[in-house]
Amino acid sequence: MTATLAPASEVVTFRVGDQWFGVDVMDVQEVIGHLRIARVPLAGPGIAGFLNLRGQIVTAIDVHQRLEISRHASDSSMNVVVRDGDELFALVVDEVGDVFAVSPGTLDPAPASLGGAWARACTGVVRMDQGLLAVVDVTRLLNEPNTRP
Amino acid sequence: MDDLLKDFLAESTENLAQLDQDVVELERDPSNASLLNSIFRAIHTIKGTCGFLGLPRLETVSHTAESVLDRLRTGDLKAEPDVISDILRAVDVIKTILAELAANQTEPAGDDSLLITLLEQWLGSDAPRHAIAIGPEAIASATLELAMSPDAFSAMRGTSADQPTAAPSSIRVSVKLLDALMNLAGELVLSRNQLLEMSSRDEDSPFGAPVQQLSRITAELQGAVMKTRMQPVGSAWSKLPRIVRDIARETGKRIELDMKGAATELDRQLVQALQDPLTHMVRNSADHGIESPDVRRASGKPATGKIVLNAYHEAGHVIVEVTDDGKGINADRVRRIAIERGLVSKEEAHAMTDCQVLRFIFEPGFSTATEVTHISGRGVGMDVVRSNIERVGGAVDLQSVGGQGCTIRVRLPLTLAIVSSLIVSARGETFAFPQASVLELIRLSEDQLARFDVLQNVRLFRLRDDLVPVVTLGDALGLPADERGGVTTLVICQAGTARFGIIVDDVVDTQEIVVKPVGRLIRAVGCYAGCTILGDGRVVMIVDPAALAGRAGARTNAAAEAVETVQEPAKSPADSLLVFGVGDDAVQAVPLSSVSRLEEISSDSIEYAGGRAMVQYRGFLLPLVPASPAVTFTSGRSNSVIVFNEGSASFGIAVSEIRDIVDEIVNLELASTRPGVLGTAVIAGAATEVLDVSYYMERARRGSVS
Repeated sequence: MTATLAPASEVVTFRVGDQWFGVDVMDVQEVIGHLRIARVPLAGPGIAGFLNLRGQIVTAIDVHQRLEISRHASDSSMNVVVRDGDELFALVVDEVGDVFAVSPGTLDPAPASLGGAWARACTGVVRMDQGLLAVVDVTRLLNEPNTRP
Repeated sequence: MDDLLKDFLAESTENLAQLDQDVVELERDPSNASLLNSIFRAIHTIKGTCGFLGLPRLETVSHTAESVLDRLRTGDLKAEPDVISDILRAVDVIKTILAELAANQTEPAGDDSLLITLLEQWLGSDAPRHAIAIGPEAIASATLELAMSPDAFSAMRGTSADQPTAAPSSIRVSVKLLDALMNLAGELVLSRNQLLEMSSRDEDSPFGAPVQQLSRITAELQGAVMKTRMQPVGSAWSKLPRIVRDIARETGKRIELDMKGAATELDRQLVQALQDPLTHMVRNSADHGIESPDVRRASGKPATGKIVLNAYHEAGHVIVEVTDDGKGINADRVRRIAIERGLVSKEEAHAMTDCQVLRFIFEPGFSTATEVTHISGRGVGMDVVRSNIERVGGAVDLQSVGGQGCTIRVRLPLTLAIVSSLIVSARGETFAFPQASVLELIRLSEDQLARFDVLQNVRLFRLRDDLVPVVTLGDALGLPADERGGVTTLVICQAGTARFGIIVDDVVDTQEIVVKPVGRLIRAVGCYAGCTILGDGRVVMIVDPAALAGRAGARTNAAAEAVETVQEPAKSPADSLLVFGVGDDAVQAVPLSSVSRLEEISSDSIEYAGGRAMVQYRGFLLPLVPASPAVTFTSGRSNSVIVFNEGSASFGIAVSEIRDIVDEIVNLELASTRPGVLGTAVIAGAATEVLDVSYYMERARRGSVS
């Protein structure tokens, strides 16, 4: 399966720690503010727990932990609700930004220097004025081996 | 056209299930005109529609079968076993074609001339050979039936109108829609619970009365929606008469299948879950339970064996019993084998009642030992039966009197979607326990808590005459300990035959909760049966007590050895291991959970192809891989083979001898240098190599391909 973006697609951007990321807008169902997350004992690292999205159970993914990004005390939390297969997941992030158009011309391949979870999840980077936007593939981010309990 | 085909398939499949049953019934009761009519009608409908849809092969088969049925109907022909067999053959071909149609939307190519010849012999030389073309009148008559009022329809069915199966008015609704309705009703219940909680906080609220009203209606709606998902348990039985008949014919036995309570209703999902285990049990009864007529007569029983299926409601559960009057299972024999196989000590085994001993039949691979050939088959797959039933929250038990038969009793909840549960708290978190597995609650003072008996690091509670192992929920779930003292509650649970206690801080409530499946990332944790949303909107995990206790038993051992298992991959907590010898004195082990069966295979039955060893096993070729080069197949000797299943593929690892089954925390101390070995660990006091099953799987697969 190639996880590259379709030509000229759009990404929803969000910030985790100091890094901005983008996920394909087609994978995103909605963005919601902070919701209470029910911890699930024994769930693997990178799984924040469950949240109740209007009666639907959604697995919340701790993106900080998943991508090994340290947490700032001041960070508030937002949820990017993404769909993978038949299941909904909430990416718990610090801030959600704009929807941003990415054309094949502006998407650079992921640098070879990336390691670990980043290398597996990142499908490319976009050079922006404020820094690099890392475009990640939702499926690969969710299936990161370290999140399996 | 597509929709037409789809409707045709749906209708035909339904008719065919009934058809099998009817045809077998007809054999027993050849003079039953209404039965014959209903069979004739089912075939006729298929024939009529397939002419319209342009399915010539199906049409020819159903037409010829119809002609034979017509002769039966007019009395020219008697419903003898041979005719019935041919009709069943035709039904099978029709089924195959329909299955193919469902998959590819085209009629498969094939030659039915043999079947047609078989069928035509019943038509006699002077049988009128109708032209096969189906004219508009056939279609018209099919349409006519649909256009009739229900009353006219049942009147046309004549005597069959008084049978409960003739639904006066019903429509076909897709299962998907019903599931969606069920989900919505569940959501409504949750919102209702939230509203109730809010309005109960304020007694003067003007919303009080309407909320009560809403609550009542919601409960009724939920009940009604639940009912739409109910199916008579008989729909899981429709294949059984045919299976029993075929086994009886093949083995030359005489078997009567009696089905009672087919109208007993339970949730569709459960009916589905019941189907395979039930088929298995009935097949076992027919194949291994019922003796041949000679043997039966010799032991003073009627020549015809009897299998009785009985379904009924009991205390909020559905009970399904399979009883046969065959040779039964000899409890002493089972007891001896259980001891031989190390499942139980001699003293324990003799202290057990026959009933308890018989439950060993449900242990994985129990009857695979060569000594038990007389009851093997009885135990084959009974572990699967049990695990399938337990997966949907049911229980299965077995009673048998040697020489007099055997009764297997399956107990199922009415529905899966909504369960009554016990809401408990532990270390500040809330959890739900399925009420069905809770036996009793015991309040424990701080003193009692400190005074548990401890045996091999497992705490035991003296419950009347019993010693019950106890785990603490908070510890088992790895929740950080808190300073809370005082009174706690011990929840005594039962899973299968095992009883155990789980200590919680407090029991908060009992509630009817809507079970929601957990996501795939959480499913792997294994100790949750699902989750639910409480009245206040909180998500709460439903604990699977059996899985928790299994895991916690392991953890208690782990604690003593100061091994923190939480962060480690799922493999490392205590596992049941199958330990075996390979050549000389070397010992190896594999996780028991990966093992499918143990077999003894004679060296002489091993065949070689392309330099690979394999053996014919249950109708297919089982590739064999020696566990180590030290394992050889010496002619004239038998070899122990561990059989593994991976999806549809199976393979066997040949070993020198099976030694033991051990529960141990695998601590791989020496990494392996050999391929196929995960590492070396101390198991039961001896250095043991732990095999990587996937490596052998790969070798077996490559071997069988090349």
